[in-house]
Amino acid sequence: MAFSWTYQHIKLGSLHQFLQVPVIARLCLSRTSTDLPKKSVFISQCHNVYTNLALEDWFYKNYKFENQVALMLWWNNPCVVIGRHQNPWLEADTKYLKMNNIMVARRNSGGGAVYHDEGNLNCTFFTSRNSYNRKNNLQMLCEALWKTWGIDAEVSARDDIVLHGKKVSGTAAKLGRENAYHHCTLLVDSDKDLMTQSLHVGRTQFETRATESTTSQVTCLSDWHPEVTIEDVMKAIGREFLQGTYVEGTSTGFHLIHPTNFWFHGLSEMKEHLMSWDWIYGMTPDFKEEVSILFPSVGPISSVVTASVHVHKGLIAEVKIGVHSGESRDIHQYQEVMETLKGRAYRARILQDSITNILKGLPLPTDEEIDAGQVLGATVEGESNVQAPGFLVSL
Amino acid sequence: MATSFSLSSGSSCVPLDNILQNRQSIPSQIWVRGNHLSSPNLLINVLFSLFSKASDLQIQLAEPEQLHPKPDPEKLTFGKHFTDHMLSVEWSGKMGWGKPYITPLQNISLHPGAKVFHYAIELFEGMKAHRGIDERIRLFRPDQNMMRMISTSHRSALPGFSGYEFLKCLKKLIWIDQEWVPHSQGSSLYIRPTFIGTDVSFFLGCLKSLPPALGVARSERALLYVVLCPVGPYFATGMKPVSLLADPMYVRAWPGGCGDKKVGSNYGPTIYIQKVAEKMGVQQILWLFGNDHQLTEVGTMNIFVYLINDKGEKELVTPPLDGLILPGVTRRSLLEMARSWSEFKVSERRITMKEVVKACKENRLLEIFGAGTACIVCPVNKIYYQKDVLEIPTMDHPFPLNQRFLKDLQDIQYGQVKHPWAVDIEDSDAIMHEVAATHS
Repeated sequence: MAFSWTYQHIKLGSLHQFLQVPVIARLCLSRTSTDLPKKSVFISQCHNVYTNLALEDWFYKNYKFENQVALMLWWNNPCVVIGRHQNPWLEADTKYLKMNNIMVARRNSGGGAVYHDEGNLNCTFFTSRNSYNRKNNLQMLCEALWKTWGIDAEVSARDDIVLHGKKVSGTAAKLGRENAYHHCTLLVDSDKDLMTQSLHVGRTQFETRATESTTSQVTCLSDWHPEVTIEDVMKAIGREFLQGTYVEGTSTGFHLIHPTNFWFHGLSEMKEHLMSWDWIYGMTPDFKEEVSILFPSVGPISSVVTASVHVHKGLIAEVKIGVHSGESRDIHQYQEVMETLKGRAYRARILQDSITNILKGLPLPTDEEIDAGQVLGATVEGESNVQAPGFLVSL
Repeated sequence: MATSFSLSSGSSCVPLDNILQNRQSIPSQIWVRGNHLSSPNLLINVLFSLFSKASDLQIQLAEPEQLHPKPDPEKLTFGKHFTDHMLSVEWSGKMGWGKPYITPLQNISLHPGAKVFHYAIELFEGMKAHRGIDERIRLFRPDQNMMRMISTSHRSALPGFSGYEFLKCLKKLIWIDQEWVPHSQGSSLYIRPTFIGTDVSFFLGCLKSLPPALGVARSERALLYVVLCPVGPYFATGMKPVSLLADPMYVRAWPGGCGDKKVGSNYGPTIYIQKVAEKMGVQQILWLFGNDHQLTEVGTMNIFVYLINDKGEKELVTPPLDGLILPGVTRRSLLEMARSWSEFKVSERRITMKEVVKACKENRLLEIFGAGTACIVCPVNKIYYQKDVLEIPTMDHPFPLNQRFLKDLQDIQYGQVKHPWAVDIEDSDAIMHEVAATHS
């Protein structure tokens, strides 16, 4: 059943007119602070994904969690966050993200890609390595939702939180030698349309060892309880953490956190690193992309041009081009031109757009032209790995 | 009697059975000056100043909507931003000390006739907590501030209290608001304990005609509380020396007054004079006293003069605690440090403008700097005195003494050097000095 918080004034006898003190939760200190671990809830004042990821990293690296536990609550402006070992071009529609000012970030923990926005709450549970307990954290979340709104969510075998058969939460973790954190998302009131358009799973295929996300049907808490807001959920979860029985410790309550270098020395550097191209794109595991393009010709037989690219640390390392057609084409010439792509940063559609220009006798498109989708030609929209008629010839 | 416990003026008039009737049960253990109280003689006095124990502390933590967003450092004006919680303890003549409360920061509601509004029955303290490189939070010599506060209470006719128990509660407050201490060196948390007389009466005298039980005019009600403010580095853009206006017509303190006590009424009247200085383009006031224009203090800080004296010796001089000077904790620390070095003469003696001007003209004046909690040291490079402008080469030496003091004190405050002056807020109380209920 839902709680209702009651107010009562502390009566200080004849002195109470001096201090009107509404008591919501009274805590008597019977043990000193050093007996039980300290437990605190940190609410980030910032909504930039890179800053918040840097803050998470800062706590993980600088706090000592052998005698304290902390829960960090944060949300970000629209962005896609990929796991440590993922491929951003595989997971997200990078062109769509750029056009809509949706940022891409790579986090330190493993797992799949998630879409973040003002309706998606992130919870990070910081503990010592020994006290790490993912299931307990998730059960605590479910308890908070149940107590406050009667929401009947459950923890699945895969450590997802599921509501009416659909996923509302995904989980990832990072375990170090001394410290550990478990973070999870909670869909309170996210924009599902933007989410679907931003996340790209299954639309592209690369040959790679990168972690690939699995798709699931998702739902938001607000689909079932429209009155629920992200602020309310933060308070409900925070209260359960501080006052419930799932986590042992002496509460220091809620704290607002301002993630800047002044309050957390060294934070700027961490943020710079997380925003760098080298981290977001350069850390992508090696992958190979193959593209087949149908090219209309003068004669009765169309040409199919194939190309493959091998990408290492986000940069094009190797590129091959091949043609199958009734007419002969000067493959060597095309290969020479394609070679100039080497060393350039990979971007979505770079292969398709480059081939199109080559076959038209134009120079290779610039990065800006590719990003803006300014290269027009006889390409099949959005699909790579198209099966060519007949057989493929490649050099 | 080893100690006198203050209840306010005329406390000796109140008979014991009157107090016992109104008093709550006596706790089984009372610690005074580190000794377990067994003497019945002291019992009477201790009863007057029984402070609630830190174990009676009632804590009400702020709800998320009551939290204050943490500001950017550029916007951190001193004393403008406060943390989420405060500590408060009430006292009344009838009930004695109430329970200490830690509550969300809130306004205080008082009767318009409350003494603090009319007669400035107010005193305060200023101290800092720093976060060290090891992430531990430390207080700098808090026992000194406690003793000074109790002494000021006595002078203000306010009740005494156990500095030991109060400090325990204060440490708890900082522990709760610890995220307000920045995780960087150079910044700190400023702690402002305040004590005000809140009872209502315009009458100040002692009604001798009435029976002793009723004839005591003392503060019948008081409120002791603590608020906290995050502060950035005092000299955010690098140490910049200040200019002083030395004009004997402005007098901060006088013999027989309370210039040596940290009461608000010493500071309020200086605001106007500070504005006069600023209008002249000068930054602070150098407070002079007497026909011989003794240097007493600078702004709200103690003053130090480092010079080569008439005998050719290097000497560090600061005015003595003769009743005009606030006994600063920083002042005391600098003196103790300098004495421990034994490298130059350290004197607490009067120093006049005549001596300063002569030393300056003869190039024997090395440094002048203020010393206080806010900045530790504040170098002075100019003094406007009579029609003269004295240029003081405080920062012109390769290794100024004031910077050496600054570095050594900061090393202690930020835990770079282990030192008993820096008290960890989470350390067991065994190492804390037990402070008597009053100190004079």
